[in-house]
Amino acid sequence: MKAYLKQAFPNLETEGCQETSPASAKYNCIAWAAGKQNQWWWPYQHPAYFWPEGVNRVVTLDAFFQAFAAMG
Amino acid sequence: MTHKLALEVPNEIYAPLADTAKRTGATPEELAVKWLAAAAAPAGNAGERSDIELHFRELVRQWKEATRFVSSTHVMVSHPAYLAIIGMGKAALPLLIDELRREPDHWFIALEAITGINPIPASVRGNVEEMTQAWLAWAEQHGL
Repeated sequence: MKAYLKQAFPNLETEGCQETSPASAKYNCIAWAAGKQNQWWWPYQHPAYFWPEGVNRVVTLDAFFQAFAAMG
Repeated sequence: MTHKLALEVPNEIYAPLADTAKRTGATPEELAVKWLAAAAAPAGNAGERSDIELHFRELVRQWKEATRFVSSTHVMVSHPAYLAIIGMGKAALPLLIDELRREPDHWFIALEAITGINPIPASVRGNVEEMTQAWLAWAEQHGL
């Protein structure tokens, strides 16, 4: 396990955690939760960043609920 | 006139070189020549350029370390090191493009802030790999 991971999350080792894939700037936790590993999801108010169509680009719990609901 | 150089390079140098070559369609040899040419650029303001590059590299290091676990684009692009890179203006442009070639990351907002343009088509929104390719194509067209 990488040193920075051990330092940030010291309990990972004692819990027997294993790194299954390298860190990536291609997707974030929100995209991963939506089943996407080639997109970065965030309600940033810039067209370069993906956010489901019709969902407010604001950082609120409700907007995140709506983003996942928009997946059907 | 050209000269032939036979070089042995350790894997930590060759791996990113081969990776960049694969992404850009160039050969490792072509990239190596390009990098050597940049390193051997004639005097002029080479010292100043090197200072700018060192400053840029340090800001990139700080930003990557600070945002390693960050998912929020808002937090990423408002980090002081990211803002400082934007503040470097056009001097940062070739360095940002090189950085994007070396290791694709979220430099799109900085690139747009500096150039005033956004070459990313709507069809690839959020796709870091394709957004990178859009910027690299733009850089190619502009001789960067």
